[in-house]
Amino acid sequence: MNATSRFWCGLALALHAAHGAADVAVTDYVTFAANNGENVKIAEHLRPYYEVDYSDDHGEFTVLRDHSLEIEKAHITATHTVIRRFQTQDEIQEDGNSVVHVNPFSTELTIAEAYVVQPNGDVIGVDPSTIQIENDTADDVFGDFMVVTIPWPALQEGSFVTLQVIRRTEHSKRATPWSHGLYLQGYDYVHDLRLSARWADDSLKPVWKTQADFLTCTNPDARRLDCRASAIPGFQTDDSANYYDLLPQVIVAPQLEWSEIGERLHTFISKALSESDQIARTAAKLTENADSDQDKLSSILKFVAGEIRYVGLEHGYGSHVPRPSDTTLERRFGDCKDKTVLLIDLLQSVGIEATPVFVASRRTDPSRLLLPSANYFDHVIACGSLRDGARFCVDPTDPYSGSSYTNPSIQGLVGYAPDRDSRPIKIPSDRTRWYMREDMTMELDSEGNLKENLSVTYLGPYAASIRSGLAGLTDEERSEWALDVYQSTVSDLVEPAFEFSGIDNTEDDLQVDSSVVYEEILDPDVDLDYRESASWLRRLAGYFETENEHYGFDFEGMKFVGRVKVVVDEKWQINRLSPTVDFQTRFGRLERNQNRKGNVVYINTEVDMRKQRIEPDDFEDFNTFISHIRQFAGFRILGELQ
Amino acid sequence: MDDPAVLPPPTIDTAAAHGEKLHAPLQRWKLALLLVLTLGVFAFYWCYRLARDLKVGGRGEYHPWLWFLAPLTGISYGIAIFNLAAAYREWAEATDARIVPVSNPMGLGLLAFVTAVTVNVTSGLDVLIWPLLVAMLASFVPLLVLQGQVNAIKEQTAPEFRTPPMRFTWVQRVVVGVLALAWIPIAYFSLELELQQLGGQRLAQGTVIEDPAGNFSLRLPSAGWVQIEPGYSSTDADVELLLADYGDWAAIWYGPDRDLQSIADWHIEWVRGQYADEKASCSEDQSVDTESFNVISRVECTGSTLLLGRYVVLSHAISDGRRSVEIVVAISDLEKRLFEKRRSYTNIASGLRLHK
Repeated sequence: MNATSRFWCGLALALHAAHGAADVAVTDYVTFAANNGENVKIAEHLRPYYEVDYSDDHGEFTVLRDHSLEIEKAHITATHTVIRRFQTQDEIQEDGNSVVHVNPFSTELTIAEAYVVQPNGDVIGVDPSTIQIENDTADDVFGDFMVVTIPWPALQEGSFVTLQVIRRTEHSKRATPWSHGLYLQGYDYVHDLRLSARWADDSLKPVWKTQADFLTCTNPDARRLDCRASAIPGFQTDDSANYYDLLPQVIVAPQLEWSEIGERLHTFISKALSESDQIARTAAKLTENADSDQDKLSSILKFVAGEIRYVGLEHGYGSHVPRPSDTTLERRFGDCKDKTVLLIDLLQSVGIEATPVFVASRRTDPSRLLLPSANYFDHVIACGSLRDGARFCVDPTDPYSGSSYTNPSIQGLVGYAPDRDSRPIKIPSDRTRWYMREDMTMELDSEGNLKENLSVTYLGPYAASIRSGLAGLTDEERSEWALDVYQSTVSDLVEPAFEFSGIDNTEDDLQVDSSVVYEEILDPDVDLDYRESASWLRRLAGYFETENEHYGFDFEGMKFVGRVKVVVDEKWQINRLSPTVDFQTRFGRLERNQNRKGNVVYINTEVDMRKQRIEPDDFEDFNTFISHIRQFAGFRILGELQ
Repeated sequence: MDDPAVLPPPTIDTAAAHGEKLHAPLQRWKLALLLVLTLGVFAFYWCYRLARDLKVGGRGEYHPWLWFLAPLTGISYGIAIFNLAAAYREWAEATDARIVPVSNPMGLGLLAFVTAVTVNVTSGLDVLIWPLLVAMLASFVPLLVLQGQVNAIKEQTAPEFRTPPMRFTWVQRVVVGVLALAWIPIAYFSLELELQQLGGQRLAQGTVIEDPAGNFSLRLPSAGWVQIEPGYSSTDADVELLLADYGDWAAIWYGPDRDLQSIADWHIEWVRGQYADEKASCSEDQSVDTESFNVISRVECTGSTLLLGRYVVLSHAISDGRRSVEIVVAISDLEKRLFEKRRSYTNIASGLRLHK
């Protein structure tokens, strides 16, 4: 089971409730209420699902997905039932455990059914002692979420596993209004899909929305919604696709406007702004040498991003409510919301207006946020404008980006600025994400040796990406990295010496200089025929060929500027150069021209491909253009031996 | 010194002072027919004939074989006609005969001059065939007028004329025979394009030639091309196209596996070898077809040779990475004006497309 499918499985099970029978308390928030041991029986209403015809091979096969919500004033109970048939040994090996995520601060989890039905009809229950529970945490992030893993026993080809979990969540333990989102399609074929919601009284009536046209919904009574679909094929996968945007989904939420959601989110931030003397003093000190607003922004961002380390304390309401900016300043650590609050506070104290922008880090299409909900957002940054009108969006958790552009990994995501926008929008992105410059001087001497002086410069967001990889390395490790890149890009015949600049200052471009001599690379006794394949451009362009077949994607933009000077010894008379190249297409342009002054040749190469949406109909042409760039960007110099 | 004003006017010995007889009068309708049928070539003999009669009549300074060349003198042709007309007018005035009509030599010369200029100009506009024909027909007018005057003089002054058939020496017969035979291929090649046009093979501007094998198409950017031979297939190897001007040529090569750089290399090497011109200047550029995303390579080599004058060989190749089609056009001319003009409309390869 790969990481992505684990996520879907976990997401699908992210529901709750309580159940009876011979309950076993696995922990104080996980109860095992399923039959086990000698008493395991098939739930009668599920029995028909074990008799479905499986002659058609649909790949991974889910027989039933049944999700129900019971909405009450103080809590919500969600029941989730899954029956899955294991088709192959590979599936068993890769996917033989089920995973459920639970937040004990707000939710109680009950495992109501957990058994395996074998092809011969035998039923085997899960031994509760085999259930594993561990903290769901990442480096430097500490929270309440737990991962419950259920290993399925005695699996074989044709086994059915049945899991029913019930999750009960208290409204009072939530920092933001509840909402339930569910992806209706996964990688597996689903034979039967059922959804239902019930509410205790009219005041609790939710709204719901879906873009799945295969879902049929009815209202059996005034306080109930039932939806059903069958024979849902597995979703087609692609090399580069954002499934969070693409997968059809349904969301159920209370009747709220975006403004109400935004007000709640914004309140968290505004209440945490200390606006204290300490903040003012710190901001003044940080900007004492700054001549302009841009310099002030740069200094303060560099401090918050670089000197306030990232540590997330996400327990309880702390998952959504930031610490006061004074506290974060004092602790010198915080998570994204803590650092953003501190950044905004510092900026405002020196007269730069900034506001929080909440980010849905897995979403790039605002139209796919079907209903107002705070639960889409899992990150926050600060945006604002300088007094000269220049706008900025900066991410204080990114210590490698400059203040003049947005963290590359944030660009293009869905963001919501509650005090500025009426609903979520796409965070602006640079015209070109990947911008590289190559400056090279080559000298071909009479002995056939080639002396090369090279500068490769990564600009803007590209510099931030490279900087993040180099920041923690020693000088020796950086040189090893540069050598590895050089040898895999240009040639492994030599080992140049490297010098770096712009690593420490995030406002600078990042430059790698090298110098090397290729000895006897040419035969000095024959006519000159020197070929150069534009290695750095080939490397850069090679990243962007798409293997997608089904879904469009956002191309982030690429720019390359190459300035090459070739000095040829007088023993050769240059008589021919490469063709001039001008490939102008709807995706961008490749230009190459050369000038000759005596035996010195200047080759100028430029590629400019702005950010753009690449739809499936464009894939072939887009890849062809990328291929052309790689193939035709090189040059050669021909000369006659004198 | 004698006063020229009292000297007797030049005379014509209409009695054939040298023992030879004058040519019989030539009816103007016959002259017109001969000029049209021979596309004006009869004018050479006509000039010879008029000059000979003047010489026979006592004007020894008229050497018939020199006047035979008069139509080749371009716009000086007008002076030649003026001169002949003036000589015959003097002949008429030297007799007591009543000469009708009496032509104006200056007017005839001017008319001949204008038509000669017109013929020259229109002959430079290769594609404008009708103005050339009109100009050529107009050039016959002064000849017909003068012939009328000559006929009147002869009929009123000459006692007798040479009687056909004329006797030719063997050398003359051989020369005439060779010329007559040479006229056959000249006539054939002159009419070939027109015949092809009548047969529907010469194509209009914008016509699309589709390769029967479906590998490429060629949209003609200028008129005057001859269609690829019916049944041609790119799998049959290269094909030649016939251009509107002789000496110019074009050909198409279809290659399943040649890359553009090797095509360009081969092209430049071939041009330099073919024209024995190591200094031929070649420029290369590459672009992309915005619809097919095929790469287009354009190589143009220019130079000059003693025999051909200026020349240009243009290669236009398209590749999709697996296959390529190249069209090569070569033109040359000793005359700079014609060369530059043809060069400007011979870039046919811009209409070449390699099918997906």
